[in-house]
Amino acid sequence: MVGQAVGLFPHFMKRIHEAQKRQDNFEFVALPHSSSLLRVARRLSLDPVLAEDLVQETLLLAWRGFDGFRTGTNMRAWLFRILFNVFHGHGRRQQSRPVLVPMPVGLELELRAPDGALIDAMAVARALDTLSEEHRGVLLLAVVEGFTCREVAAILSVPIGTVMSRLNRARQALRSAVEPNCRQDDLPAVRSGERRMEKQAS
Amino acid sequence: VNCSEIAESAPLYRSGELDPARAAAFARHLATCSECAGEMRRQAQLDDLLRSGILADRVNSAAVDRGVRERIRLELEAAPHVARASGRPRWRVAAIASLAASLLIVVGGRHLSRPRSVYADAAADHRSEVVNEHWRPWFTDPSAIASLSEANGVAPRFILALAPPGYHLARAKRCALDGRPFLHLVYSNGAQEFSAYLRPRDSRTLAGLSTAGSSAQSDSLAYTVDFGAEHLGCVETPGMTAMIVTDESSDAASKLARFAGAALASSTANF
Repeated sequence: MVGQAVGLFPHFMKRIHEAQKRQDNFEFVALPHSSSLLRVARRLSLDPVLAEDLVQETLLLAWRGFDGFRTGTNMRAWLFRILFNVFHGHGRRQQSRPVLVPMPVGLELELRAPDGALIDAMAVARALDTLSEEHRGVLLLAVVEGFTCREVAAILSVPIGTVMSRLNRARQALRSAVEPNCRQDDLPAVRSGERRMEKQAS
Repeated sequence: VNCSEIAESAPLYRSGELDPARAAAFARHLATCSECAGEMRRQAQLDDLLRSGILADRVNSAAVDRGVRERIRLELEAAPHVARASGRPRWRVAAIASLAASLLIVVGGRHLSRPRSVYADAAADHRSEVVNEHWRPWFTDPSAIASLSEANGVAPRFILALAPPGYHLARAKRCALDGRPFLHLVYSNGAQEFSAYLRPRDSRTLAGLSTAGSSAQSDSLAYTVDFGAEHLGCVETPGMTAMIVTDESSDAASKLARFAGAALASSTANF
């Protein structure tokens, strides 16, 4: 019994060493992306608590699939692909959560950030929260995270043509949310996005 | 290349994914068509604003990183035993594995049962104490309410400003929602009543987001949350956090929140 245990020892140590190396590797290449994952998850889910869960789940799945990950492939795009899958899976599981319906921060509500320079950018960021999930997703990936259309297509598992038209519609929707004088009625594509939001909210 | 083709392929041009010939044709069109050039410029400005607005929202992933490291550690502790061949001493392995499993359940349980939200607590509190009128020790005397309010860090001028036309402050007490103290105020117009939950703004937003040291601390938010039969209108200004709860409608919650936002902003400005 003792002999068996001693014989096992080098094997055991080797495994621990390998596991440690794998973990160090993973932490080195994956964890630096956790902030941008969290930023996107927050804007996507509109729920900071849920966002942390989504990112933790994403990184854990990435860790479990890390052996299948080939070096040289795009780690950032891979992680975002997992995040979007986790987010969509989550939406199906949890229909009963209260729905946060952000109000486009009104000009009638005279609340302003003291830093005048930031107000426009902040207003645009808030306007993003009022768009449909699909539109938020492409804008976050292409504009904020700087992924190419091809990468966005891979992350969302949709054809590149869909990414292009979705991006165009999302930019229009964002602009009409920021500029109240640009009426949404002029944009049929945006209206269908809104209907989807109403359906989710009810 | 015509204008609609330009609009269509604009995303590829922006991300540098057009092949050189098509990119050159795109650029030539922009040089001659002021309308498309203006459109591209306006979109680029909007993109810049969106990017800086989102990036200004500082995120702290330390808790997530810690959680991931911890879960990985637990998985590693459990993992070597799974692949073990038969005939080896198993009892220790089993003991360690079950210990690891119980840790996973504890950690996992804490992870999964998210904290009760402050919104759920506010909705339940309003339902029980205002709609169903379960008896609670309320303060109704105006001067007692004023000193209670001051003791909770809420200037009395705020609670007066929160009453919309036709409404008056009916009663008040202190309460805890999601572990944080709030001043609970009930306003009435004789027929309808609504609740207002107030507390001074601290380094966490209502949703639990930490804003310590970030620009979000000086930012204002207004949004509504529908929670079953209760409708919440939330306003978070640099100085004050307010949740208005009504059982009337989402629209009413939104109107009351707008009024509260304006009231809080002007009461702050006047003093």
